[in-house]
Amino acid sequence: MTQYNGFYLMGNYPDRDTFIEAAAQGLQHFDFLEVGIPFSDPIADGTAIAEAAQKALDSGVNLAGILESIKAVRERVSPEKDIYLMTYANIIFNHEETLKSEEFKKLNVKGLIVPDVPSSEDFFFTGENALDGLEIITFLTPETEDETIKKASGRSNSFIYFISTRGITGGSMKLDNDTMAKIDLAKSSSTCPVVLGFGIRDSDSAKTALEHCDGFIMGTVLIQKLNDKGLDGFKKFTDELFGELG
Amino acid sequence: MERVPDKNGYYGKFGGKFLPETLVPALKQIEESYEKFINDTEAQAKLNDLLKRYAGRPTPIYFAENLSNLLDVEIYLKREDLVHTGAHKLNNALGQALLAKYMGKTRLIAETGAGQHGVATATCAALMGMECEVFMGKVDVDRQSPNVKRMKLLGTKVTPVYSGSKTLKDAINAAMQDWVATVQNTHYILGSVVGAHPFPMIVRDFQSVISKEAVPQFLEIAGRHPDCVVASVGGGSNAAGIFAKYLEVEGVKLIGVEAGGRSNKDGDHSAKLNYGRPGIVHGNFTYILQTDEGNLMPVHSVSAGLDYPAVGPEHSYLKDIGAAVYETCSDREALDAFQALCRHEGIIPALESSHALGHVMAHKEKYKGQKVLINLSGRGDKDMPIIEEELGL
Repeated sequence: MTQYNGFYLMGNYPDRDTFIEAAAQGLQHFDFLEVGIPFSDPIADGTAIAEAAQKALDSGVNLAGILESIKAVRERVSPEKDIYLMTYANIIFNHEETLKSEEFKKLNVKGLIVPDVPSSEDFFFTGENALDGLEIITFLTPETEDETIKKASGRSNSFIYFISTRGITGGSMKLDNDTMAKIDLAKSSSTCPVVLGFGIRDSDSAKTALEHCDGFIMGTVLIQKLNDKGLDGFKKFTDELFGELG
Repeated sequence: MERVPDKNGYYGKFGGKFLPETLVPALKQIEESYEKFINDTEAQAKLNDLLKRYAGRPTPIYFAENLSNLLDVEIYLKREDLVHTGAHKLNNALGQALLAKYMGKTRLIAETGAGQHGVATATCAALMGMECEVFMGKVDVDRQSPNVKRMKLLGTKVTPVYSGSKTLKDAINAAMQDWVATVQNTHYILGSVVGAHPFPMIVRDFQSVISKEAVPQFLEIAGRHPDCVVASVGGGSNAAGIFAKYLEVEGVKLIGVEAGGRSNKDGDHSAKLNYGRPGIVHGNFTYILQTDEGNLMPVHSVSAGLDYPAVGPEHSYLKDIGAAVYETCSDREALDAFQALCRHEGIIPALESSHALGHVMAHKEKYKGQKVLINLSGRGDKDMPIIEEELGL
């Protein structure tokens, strides 16, 4: 299977123009982008992303503004590149009408990544409240039972988000034998890419992810690059990363 | 009334398990272990023994004669302030700490607002020889400093939380973030009937000891059931505890009292069942105070234990089916009630519990001649720094 690598940016963070530029630059290397919609109480995020969310909220960032920016990103990147929204259940719940609108469909957003909606509760958004073809991406973890992995893998279409470690974003990656066996089970049970996220912050961890999975997702380290070194630092980092990955 | 929650953890449309996938197996383990725990005669005997000999249960119901004469309302107090550590919180912490041991966990974590649940958890950790860390918003660390010192004395690590509003909701976020990473050896003792299933059910069940005692006690002391049962509601655990058995008694009106704060303007109160709307936060679908965008709103209460923008899903359900009503009590009314109980009955109540009495006092005409049972959920020693500031002692 060809690689399917993704990256995370907080929408309109640190500001609208930098976000659009970083998104377009990143998608020259990565296959998909996760756009974070800030939420006040991000229980699955570590300090870097949680602080970015708080700063974004403080500066008035909201879904409507981020969708405008996604429109601008779409105009600059190949239509083959995928865009997902990453946020928490209450933001989705409050914006169901927007997410069902014709305007939204034009943005060609492929799915939603919602860390506080486990597969047991996704009926809340996929039953009567179906979000018109927007897939809720399945998370699998080192804790997920084998039966659940088989079932979830069978019904995923876009990709499966495998969390590398027990913890929140911004930690370090640990792949023990049990976890690798679960990744293998997910791969053999599904027809879509199994992508590893959480704790991938350099070319070494990305290479390790690619040895076992169909792709990797990078987030916290990119937010830190934008914070510390701006767009130039972000571009240098991603250029070098993909140079090293070959 | 249907038995709630259903097998999936829903109270009508409220509740659920909205937490990261990493925690789903842990929630399942807790649910299964809890089922075994409540059917294990030995484990139940141990819990009952601790409740009796360690916590000091049963707590009495006291007829507050002086206050009753003054208000022309018959005021009865369920004295949870007399439980060891000074509040009802220990009923749940003891149960969950035993459950954690039963599951083979070695570390306890908890969030705390007013510090009462933190102290209760720290107490259980000391008693049972377990490691313990309590997360507490920096604002609460400052305004409830006596409880911070108590937790430290008991050998617990108190971690101040500097994110967001630096209050109870942020302490819950921090505890959940810790738990996602430490779930293999750690049990998270949630302090209220909030969070993902099975927590709202477990906490309610452990707190229902309050009404299991109160129903026969009240009959004995007053000769009949009360007209109203009143309890303050932050997350809703003391109310859930005293409502539990009274929900099965016909003709008793159940009244939850939320923090009305300074005014009914956004950000000035914590009254989600009065002014909020449904949404999803901290693991469940429930009434919350939120912005149009879906972010939690800043909230306020003079009482740190009520200063929370969400509420247990069962209260949302009870409100919607009309099985309980939810009123408000302002900071001022709560402080008046606090002083009245001190002066006329010689009882220094927690500011949380003062809201229940404050509502009745402010509407004494409505309750004239009625028998009103108030859950006096805690004592007020821990509120001294706030009282000094508010009342200028």
